[in-house]
Formats: sequence, structure tokens, C-alpha cells
Amino acid sequence: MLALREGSEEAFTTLFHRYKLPIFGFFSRRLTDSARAEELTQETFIALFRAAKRYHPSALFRTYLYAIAFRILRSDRRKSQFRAMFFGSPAAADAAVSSHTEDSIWVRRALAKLDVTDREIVMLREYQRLSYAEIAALFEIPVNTVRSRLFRARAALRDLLDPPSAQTGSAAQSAAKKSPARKANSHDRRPA
Amino acid sequence: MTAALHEIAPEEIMAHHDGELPADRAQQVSSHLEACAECRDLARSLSGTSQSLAAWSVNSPRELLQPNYKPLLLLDRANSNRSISFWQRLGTRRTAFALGAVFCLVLLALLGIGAGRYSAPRMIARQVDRAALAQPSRAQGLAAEGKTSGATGGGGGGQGGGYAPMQEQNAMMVIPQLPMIAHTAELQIVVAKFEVARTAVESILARHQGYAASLSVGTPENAARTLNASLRIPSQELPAALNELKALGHVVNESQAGEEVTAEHTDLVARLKNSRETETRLQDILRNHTGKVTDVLQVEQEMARVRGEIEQMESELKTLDHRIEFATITLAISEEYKAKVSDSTPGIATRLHNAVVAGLKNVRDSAVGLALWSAEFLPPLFFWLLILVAPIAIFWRIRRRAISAAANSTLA
Repeated sequence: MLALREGSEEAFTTLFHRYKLPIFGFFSRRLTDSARAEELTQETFIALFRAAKRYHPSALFRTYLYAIAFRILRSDRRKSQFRAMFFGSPAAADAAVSSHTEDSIWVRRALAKLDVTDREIVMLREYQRLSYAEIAALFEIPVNTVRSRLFRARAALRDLLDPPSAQTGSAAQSAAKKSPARKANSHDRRPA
Repeated sequence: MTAALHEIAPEEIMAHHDGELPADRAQQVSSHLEACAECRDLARSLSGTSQSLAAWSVNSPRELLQPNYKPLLLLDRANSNRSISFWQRLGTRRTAFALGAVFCLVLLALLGIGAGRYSAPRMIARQVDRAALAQPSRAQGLAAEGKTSGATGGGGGGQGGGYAPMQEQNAMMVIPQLPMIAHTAELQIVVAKFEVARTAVESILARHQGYAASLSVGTPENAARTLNASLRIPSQELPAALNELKALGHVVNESQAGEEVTAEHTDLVARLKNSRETETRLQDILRNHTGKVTDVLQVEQEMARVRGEIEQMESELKTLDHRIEFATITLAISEEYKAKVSDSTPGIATRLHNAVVAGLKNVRDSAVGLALWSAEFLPPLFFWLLILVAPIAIFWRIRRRAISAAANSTLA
């Protein structure tokens, strides 16, 4: 990133090839339209290029990049919501959903039942492999809060994804009981 | 499982599973996991959840092209180097809105001016001007009072309802040759010798056959003396009188103005002429016709009313003529003040006392003012805040909910 700040094209290419798939994964798991995810991935790298001159290595580059991606995602959601106020919400991208496997659909449904912040934390940890400190920096919350919310989210997800009979460990059950997602309808649970 | 029983919190087992613990703590947790089956189960279940989540894989992008570096670089350089030109500024949305608003205002102003220009009184005045330009000799003949042409404007001219058309007709007929202008001037002069200047003002008035409509002299303590006067000088003598007055000292401020009263004068003359004719006709009726006593009384009442109008208009005409004949000079003379050696200002104790009293009065006045302002403006302020903030808050809440719903629907 420091090389990019100095105007190195090679550095930009390296960054793009290193992070394009993680960033695309970030967007595609949060949007139904795969083409839109591609566009936002490119927008993220363009924003990264434009912000390179202002970059100060005060945090990890990955945190910086995901912060940009989050801003672009929020902006896109805001715009699409604004458009939906006047033109109605676009039809659900059934094709995009149907392209996923059955397992992924169950995972998506389970994640959808979580609190927004808990969901983002668990997704950043599981799919983007961000450390607790990076997630804390991204959300501007303490690391301990990230840890406790992540544990809560995982316990809720285990409840949602696995049938209770399959669970082992009384400690995990007691932790899962505290989760609001525990009250989810049994029809939404993954069949054994 | 509790922290008291296991000495290791479940979150720490999760952090160990994620590799987020420091080395020494990780070793402790590993030792504990070897000994505790319950915590092993927890670690295993966490691992299982991660594996379940990993089932959601993302297809590779079909066509994820790298943004072209060189155009981006060129664009960035152009953005950093360019100075925003005027036409580019015009392109911004905010500037466009501002220009649009200014254009609309100018358009409205022009429409307003246009409407005023083509309004009926202005059209009549313009026709009078055209007629004056076209027939100067006739206009000269019609200018003087009593020398107007024979048309009298009919019987109802002086009686209420039919007056406005008559006025316009007379305005068309009575066309002055030269504009009638009431001159005014203002002078502020600072003089070295106040007494000499005052005497000179009186002599200037006498020399130019003028008079002082009002004159006041102020001699305040520890300040310059001042003379404020309203002088009336014959209009033709105005330039000479002004020059002499300006020679009295240093002129601080001078302004001259001329108000054209031609239309007003013409209108007044025409109305006066009509009223006189009405009075003559009423006198003829009273002299020649016989009838009931009530009719006679009505005619006499009408004559009295018309007579009153005539006298009022004659008075106005005289005043107007006087304003035209005599220019008004508003004169303000002040002395070059030299502070006296003997200081008559009060002592420090007195001044301090006065300051304290004034301060207390100010505190009281400002408190009363604040209370009055609050009583007057706070209720409407709260009312409008409520009116304006409530919809914004509701909109904001709906928007947040909608975004959250959109995020959820994306994942569902």
C-alpha cells in the first residue's frame, strides 16, 4: 500500500490480485446479485486507489480495505433503498439464490436470523478470516465485546444449523439458551 | 460449564479455537482441554459450526477485471492539478440550483417591472409626454391656469363617481411646457469660527431674498456647537446661494435633488378648474331655478362642499408653487471643536457609582428582555422544532428499518 501511495502500478496490481476474491466474497455474501458484487469489488479498488495518497499505516491494511468495502456496501444499500421508495424493490434474484447449494441456503437463513452486528462479526471472522482486533477496529468496539458477541452468534448458529439432539456439551447448551435466535421456528432448522 | 468450575471461560475456548489467545494462555487452555471432556465437546461443536458455515461457498466471479491503472492515474492527476474553471463550477448541482433560483428571481422582477411599465397611469403619462413633444406650441398655450381649451369635461366632473376619467382627460389636455421641479439640497459644513458662519448665513439669506423656515443652534458642554437650519431660497438663486454657503468652511457632505411635480401640478390645476366650473353651475341653478326649499338647501350644501374642496386645492396649489419657486436647503453647520483645558468631567468615585448603577440597570433590562423574548419566541420555536424534527426522526427510523430489512432479505 505504501508503494501504491508512491504511484507504483505493480503494487496496485498485486493488491488487486491478492484481495479481489476476498472482497468479491465479502460483497457476494451480502448481495443477491453477483454482477453487482463484481461492480462493488471494482469500486472498492478504485476507492482504494483514490485514497492511497491519504493512507497512513495506523492499522492493518486488511482492516483499511474492509472499512472501504463496508462504506461502499452501506452506500449501495442506501441508494437501493432510496430507489425502492420510488420505483419499488427489485425482484429477488432467484437465479442467484438457486445457484447456491442447499447447505448454503440453510446457512444464509440461519445468518439472517442473527442480530445485524452479530451477523457481520461472525461473517467477517468465518469468511474473511479477520482477527478479533481487526473486527474491533472495524466496528470501533472493544475486543472483548467482539469475542463475547462472536461466541453468542456462534452458539445461536449452532442451534439453528444443528438439531438439538446432535449437540453435545451442557456448557454450549446453556450458552445457546441465552441467544434470542434460540426461539427460531423449528421449520427453519436444517433437517438431520 | 461455568468459569468457576473450569477456570476457563467458553469464550476463551472459542478464542483458542480461533488462535486468538496469547501463547501462555493458549497452553493453559490446551492443558485444560486435555483434561476436561465437556470443554472438548464445546471446542468440537464450535469447530462443527465453522464447518457448517463453510458450506456457503461463493462461486468465482465470471469477469472480475482489474480497474485500469493508467486511466485512473491520469484522472487522479488531472483532478489534483486542475483548477476548477468557471464553466465546470456551473456544472455542479448546487451551483446549477443557485443559478436557476437567481434566474427565476430576475425573471419575476422583469415581469413585475414590465407590468408596472404598461400599467394604465404610466401609459397616460407617456401619452402626455408624446403629446407634449408633438405639439409644443399648443402645450405652451395650455400650460397656464385659466388658459386651457374650451372643453369643460361635462356636468358630473366635480362630483365623485365620474372624476377619474375626467382627471385623465384633463391630464391629456393640460400639458406643461417645462418640467416643474422642486429643488432640495443638503449641506454639512464644519467651520472654524461658528459666530462668523452664523452671521454669514443670515446675510446670504438676505442677499438672495430667502428666509429660514427653521433654525436651531446647539451649544452643548464639552462638545462642538452646531447649527441646524432649513433655508428657503428662490430656485433661480439656489446655485449662487449654495456656493456662498460652501465657502463658509469645510464641506463634509453635500447632496442635491430635484423632484418633478409636473404631473401633480397639472392634475391639481385640472381638478381646481373643474370644481370652479361646478361651483359656477351650482350658482346658476341657485340663481335661475326655483323649487322646493329642500332642493335649495341641497344645492347650497353642495356648493359649500365644492367651495371647501376648491379652497383646499388652492392651498395645495400654493404650497406646490411655493415648493417649486423656493428651493429648500437643509443646512448643518458644526464647529471645529477644541477641547478645553479645564476638565469638568466628574470624579472617579462618581463615575464608578454611575457605572455601577448603569450596570445594574443593564442587568435588569437584559433579564427582563430575555424573559420577554423567551415568553414570546420559545413556544413557537418549540412548536416548529416539533413540526420539523418529528418527521425527520420518523423518516430516519423508517429508513434504518428499511436498510436493516434489506440486509436481512439479502441474506434470507
